[in-house]
Amino acid sequence: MLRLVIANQRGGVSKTTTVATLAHIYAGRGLRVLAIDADPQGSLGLVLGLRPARYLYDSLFCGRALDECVVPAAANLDVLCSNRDTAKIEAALAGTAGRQFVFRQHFEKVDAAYDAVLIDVAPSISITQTCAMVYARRLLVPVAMDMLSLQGAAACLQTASMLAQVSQCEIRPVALLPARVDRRYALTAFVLSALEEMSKRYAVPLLTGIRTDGNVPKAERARQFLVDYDCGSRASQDYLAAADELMALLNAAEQTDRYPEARSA
Amino acid sequence: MRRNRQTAIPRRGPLRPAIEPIHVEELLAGAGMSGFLGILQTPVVVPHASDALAHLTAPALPQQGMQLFFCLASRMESIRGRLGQQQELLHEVVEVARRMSASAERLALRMTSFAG
Repeated sequence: MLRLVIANQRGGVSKTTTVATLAHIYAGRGLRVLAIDADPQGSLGLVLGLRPARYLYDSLFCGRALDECVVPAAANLDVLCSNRDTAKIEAALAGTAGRQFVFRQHFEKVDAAYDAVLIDVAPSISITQTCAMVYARRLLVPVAMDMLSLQGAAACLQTASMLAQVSQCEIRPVALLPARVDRRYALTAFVLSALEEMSKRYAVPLLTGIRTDGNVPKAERARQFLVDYDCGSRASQDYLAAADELMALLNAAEQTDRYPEARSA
Repeated sequence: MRRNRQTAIPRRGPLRPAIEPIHVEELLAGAGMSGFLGILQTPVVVPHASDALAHLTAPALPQQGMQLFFCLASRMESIRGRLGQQQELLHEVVEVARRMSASAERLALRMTSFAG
């Protein structure tokens, strides 16, 4: 079972695109994938043109079965969409002891039908984000080529580390994913260099970057998955390569979880 | 009169400082790099904030908003009433179960004494 939260505490770093594209690629490879949108802006449903009758909030707090709330978006791929009600989760859980475990309590009972669960979270420090991290325990951090994204990534890694200590569970950042890479800009080299430094400092691998590509917004406008829209595009090719690298890292992490002695070796 | 490209004086932007390398330490020193798990802490009592708020008067809600508010409030009351009834029923069920359990224990004791 693969569970992964895609997070960065800054907006506009390609979190939603990454979730949609990776979920679609893994579903295409035969995995049964559930993509959960935990962002009250509901971007995942919007870019895929989904019109669900029920949302994340209904699944969590209104006693609706997961089957009733998910929407099939492609073969092997279901999406649990989000709407403004997701923001109510924060208010509903405020002051509740052990609130960071709510996703784990809820989804671990119902996610057996899937091989992989990918979660898109809001770009903020929120209870929903901490819930997603405690449930998924694996973190992918996309980083756009600017300083604020870098700071958001560092904040995300710090949060994961602290949350792991507080919640007594291992939350492992699996990789950093450079996104919107355009080497024509001078700043890109500086950001990539800082990412390498961050990767060494936190011992988090750095994936092959996703190049800037005009096909990404076009695919979103067409309400299509990027790989379906243009399989030969730069971003599609980069995401396919990143999906391979990421799967290898996730499998390695799974192995070290099963056989902890391998980590020390 | 418009100048052609060859005679035009090239316009130069203001002299910008060179971009400096970005270091992780610099990012970690930012103001937003602490208090990540504040959302998991219990609500903090802030007396000075309460004092400041005590002088505020809440603006009146528009009529439509008030109606909606009272409608929701009455629905909440009815839900609360139903929950109370269900809780009472649950207590009764628990009481019956407790009595049945005690009877079963007594019966088991008698059966063992008969067998003895």
